[in-house]
Amino acid sequence: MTMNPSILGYDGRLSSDVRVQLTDLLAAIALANLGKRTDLRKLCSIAIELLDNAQRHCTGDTIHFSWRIVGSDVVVSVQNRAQGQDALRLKAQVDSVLAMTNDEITEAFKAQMMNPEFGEKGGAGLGILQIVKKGGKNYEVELEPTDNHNEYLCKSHVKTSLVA
Amino acid sequence: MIMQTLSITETRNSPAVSFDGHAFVIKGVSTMVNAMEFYKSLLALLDECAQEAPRELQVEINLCYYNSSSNKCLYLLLERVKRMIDKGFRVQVTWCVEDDDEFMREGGQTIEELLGLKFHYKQVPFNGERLF
Repeated sequence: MTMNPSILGYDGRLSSDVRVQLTDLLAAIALANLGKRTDLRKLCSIAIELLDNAQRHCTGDTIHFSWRIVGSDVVVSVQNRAQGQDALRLKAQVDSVLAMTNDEITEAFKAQMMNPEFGEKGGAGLGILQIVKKGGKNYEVELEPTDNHNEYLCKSHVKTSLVA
Repeated sequence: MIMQTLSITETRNSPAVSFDGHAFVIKGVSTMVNAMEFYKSLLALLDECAQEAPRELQVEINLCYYNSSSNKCLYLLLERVKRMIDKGFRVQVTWCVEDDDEFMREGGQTIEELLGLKFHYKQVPFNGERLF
């Protein structure tokens, strides 16, 4: 299955208003290029969760976001600066979830759902689990040191197959 | 005791909520970065409601999409509903799903399983305009 390439890209400040606009645009592009399918929201949820994380933890002025259809995959990339502890925690959590089996991911998701605690910035601790659960097994996080020793540039890439 | 009521207008990233003492409806989209800020008043409302005399209650979750922060809030909200059932409230939970949308169906099934509740799944047509 080969889809027409399409791309949604954004570089700039990320606020709740911008996130809503990006989400609307993503919905229109996904619908136009992929058609109505029962997993459309599931596919787009990966981008929304990555944007949520970026909004919570971004310490810089801008983020980079892109959503592309490449062959039979959707590739979502988000880059943002983050405090060292947040960046390292993100990387550790992604590595930990990727090492789990599908059953372990499902159980971890349920356990985290029942945990009534939220992070300081409103995170439920479910985002990474949800991304991987919804098909984003191909999830990479790169951390690049910045000129500020307490910050990293976090580069997240998630590739999801469009083939059921 | 005065029965609590509530009406919240929908925004671009938060749902409309209505509660008249007998029907509790959440409708729209729920993608706030800090969802608990929004849902804490709803949790408090159900806690107060649970102190009242048991009665019939209709709960309808009619969201087209919610993020993971909202997901946990919905779980906590329905956990309150479960406690009300345990206290003698007769509750029907209706979970709306647009055109067999996998995201919403799986989300309902996960909460249903975790809480041991039985949802009534209602198919609603996709209006072709709003994905999120």
